[in-house]
Amino acid sequence: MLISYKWFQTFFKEKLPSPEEVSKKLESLAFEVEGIEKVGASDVLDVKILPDRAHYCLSHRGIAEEIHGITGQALKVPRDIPVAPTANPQILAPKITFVTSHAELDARGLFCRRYMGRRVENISVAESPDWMKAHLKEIGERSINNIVDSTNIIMFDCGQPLHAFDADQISGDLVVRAAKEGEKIVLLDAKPEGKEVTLKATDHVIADEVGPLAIAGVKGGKRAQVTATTKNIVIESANFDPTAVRRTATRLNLRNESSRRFENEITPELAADGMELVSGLIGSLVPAAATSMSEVVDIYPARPEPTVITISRDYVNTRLGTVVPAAIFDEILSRLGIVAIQSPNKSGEFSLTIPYHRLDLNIAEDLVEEIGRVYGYEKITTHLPAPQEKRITVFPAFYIAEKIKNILVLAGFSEVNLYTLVAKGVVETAHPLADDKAFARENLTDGVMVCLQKNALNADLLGLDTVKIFEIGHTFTAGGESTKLAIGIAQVKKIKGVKSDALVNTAIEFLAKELNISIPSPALISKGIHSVVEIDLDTAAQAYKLSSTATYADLGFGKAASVMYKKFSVYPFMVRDIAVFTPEHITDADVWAAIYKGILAVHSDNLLVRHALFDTFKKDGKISYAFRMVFQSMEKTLTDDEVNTVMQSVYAQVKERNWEVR
Amino acid sequence: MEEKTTGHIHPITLAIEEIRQIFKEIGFSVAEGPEIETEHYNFDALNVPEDHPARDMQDTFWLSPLSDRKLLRTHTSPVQIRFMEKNQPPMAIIVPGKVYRNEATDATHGAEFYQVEGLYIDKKVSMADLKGVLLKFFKSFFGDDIEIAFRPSFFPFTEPSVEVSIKWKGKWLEVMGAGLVHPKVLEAGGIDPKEWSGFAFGGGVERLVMIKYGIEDLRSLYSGDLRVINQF
Repeated sequence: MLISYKWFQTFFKEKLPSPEEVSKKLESLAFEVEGIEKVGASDVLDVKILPDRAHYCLSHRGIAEEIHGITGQALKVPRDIPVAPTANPQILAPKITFVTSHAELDARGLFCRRYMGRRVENISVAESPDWMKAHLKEIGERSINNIVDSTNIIMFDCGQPLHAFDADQISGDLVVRAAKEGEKIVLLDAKPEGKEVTLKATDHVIADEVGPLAIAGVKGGKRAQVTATTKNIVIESANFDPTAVRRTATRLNLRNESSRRFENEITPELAADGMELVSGLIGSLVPAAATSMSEVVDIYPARPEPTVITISRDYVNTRLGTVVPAAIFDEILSRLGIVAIQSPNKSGEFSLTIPYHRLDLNIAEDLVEEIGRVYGYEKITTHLPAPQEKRITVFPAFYIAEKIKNILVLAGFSEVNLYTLVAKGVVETAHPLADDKAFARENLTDGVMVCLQKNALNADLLGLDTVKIFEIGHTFTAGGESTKLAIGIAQVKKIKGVKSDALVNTAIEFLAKELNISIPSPALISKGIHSVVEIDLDTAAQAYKLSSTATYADLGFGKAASVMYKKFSVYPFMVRDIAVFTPEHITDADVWAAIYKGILAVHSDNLLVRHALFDTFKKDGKISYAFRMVFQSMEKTLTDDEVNTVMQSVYAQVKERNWEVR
Repeated sequence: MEEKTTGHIHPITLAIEEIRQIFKEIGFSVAEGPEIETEHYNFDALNVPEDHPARDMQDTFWLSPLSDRKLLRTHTSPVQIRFMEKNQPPMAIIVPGKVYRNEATDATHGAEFYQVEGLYIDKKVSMADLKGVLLKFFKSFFGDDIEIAFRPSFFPFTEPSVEVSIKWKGKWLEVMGAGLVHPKVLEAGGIDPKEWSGFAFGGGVERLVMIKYGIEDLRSLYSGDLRVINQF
């Protein structure tokens, strides 16, 4: 909701604090201000309205009342705006009838809760004055003409959607009714020109003898639109069922500022304010019209009773966990327009009469929030409740999954966590985010296999001969949802007699032994050096004999490590090996010191990311040390030349010591 | 050339484990639930009415066919109801688990992520209790110098509802939603709101992990990349 600071000021007696200050106050209340922007001569606040307050806060007035509620900043009553002219009895009021709407709605209540209409003659449609154009621009709306703009400005002012029909295009009486199945209407701004919208019996229209003139609460039709030649109009200020409006607007993809307000439900009481304000504005713009307004027809079958909630201060204080001083308590209620009457029977109880527009306040808990947020949650002292007298038992599925994680980590496996939404599967989302994320995965194996392959490429960088990973996660098949474990191994370094499939099987055996259960030999998928198996954890969990005294302390998690994540380079790495023959008394540390000196001589910013001694042997009174070095830059792709320069420097260091590079 | 023979636990697991340990000290157990949920548990029982704008707050992955009204859960809150149905109050649980939102992925938003939910039901539970439990948690998780603040907010399943922020290295960061359990939610779980009251809270685990370990892109947690995981 865009709030024009300049317009906003018209609600208050005194000058408002700066837009930034107003924004801070709103944030402390229940609103997020997503931005403050200067548009023309006014600052504009973009205020995010949460659904519970959308009943009354999708307007400048609603938010002004909020500011009044929290700060006490006095509202200006009456405001300095045009007053509605007196009705002229010689102008014939429009005839309006309701036709019972469809069965589903009638069970819940009327579709049209109130319909107010007034005929205004001697209109001259013209461009809006500059101030109106500027104001509309501030709140992101375009100017159309003085009449349509008036209805829009009043909607953003008080929250009541309004509509104006060209009265001379209406044949006979106005009818509010359910649409006929297949009935058609051409809407305002139809694109392409003249395009018809087909209605269903669950939609509602304002119609005349000829057919629909507007989709109720959503959008006006072309036939009775206000044009440059319009002389007489009918103004509508009505209230429609939120769910029905939402369904129609959503189905026809026509959700707009009008439907948005009805969808969130507004009080039918507001219709009168909307009619009053728009009559005043139009009257001030077109003097001839000011004396040509009919009486307002008001069809209001069931005026709601105001909501009354009974609470006590004690109750609110207990729920908040603090004591709100009685005087402050009462002042908060009064600022929110809530009338409190002390119950005669029970001491300490109040009947609170809630203002009509606060459709969000229905139960005692709602008042806890109102008092709490205005009083300030920061004033509540924290209290840590004592643990309940219940022994903490472990949750078997969680316990076993966590136990397996620890067993596998001890066996050298790292845990991965991959996406559930993938390109193929059985369980499909109805509206996928992307084509390659349309399904919930049916196995973990596919993801773990790809993950192995990617990590195998980084084996040198990671310092791994064998990439060992696992994942525990849910899978989704026609049979339902289950918890799975996948274990994957890539045997990157060739070692005679060592193969990834055998290693995976060994890991499963190890797991079975640690858990003391039997795990049936799972199907194994191998691709080259990569092997993955997947087992059903739900079955394993059933087989596992969980001790009745088991606690999570058995799991073996240590105290959480205090590590800080380091970004890794996105550029390729390069590997170089060096083997150095030295006299027998030289240690590997001596050799590494010499190599490192050679590296630093070229690059003080140290491109070496990893090194390891991978081979040592003695021969003829000499000893050979073989080191593997991994080079990588955070800033760029290293060239062979750059790394070769480093190696030349390393060789020089070796030679200087009369050692031999093999 | 292996430098270390043990493997590495994923940072999300580490965080969930640490959260579990902290809450265990103050009497919370663990509960879990399915990732495919019914409309009933994900929305209706949590006081999110059908055809209400509040449903737009969480973009949902509905499953095909739509007529089954099944979905990938948008939050861990359905487990509140499932747990209430099967257990008698008082109760105190945390619920870790994966959740799904149909929204575009970027460095700080994911279509799938982990949440930890908390539910505490007892007699005369207050906002002061909620504040006490969360302050204890955040101090244990992030360090003693953490401050927390409540800002009014809206969730259909709590009343009052608040957004919880922590002050971390001089900056306020929103980390959780919380509030007192709405009486309709207690009723949906078969608990009498006249006798019992409670608080609930929930937030993304990734956010906590990112703050704590200094990770800038949430997606790196799901890349399966050992260059990330092996740092932990």
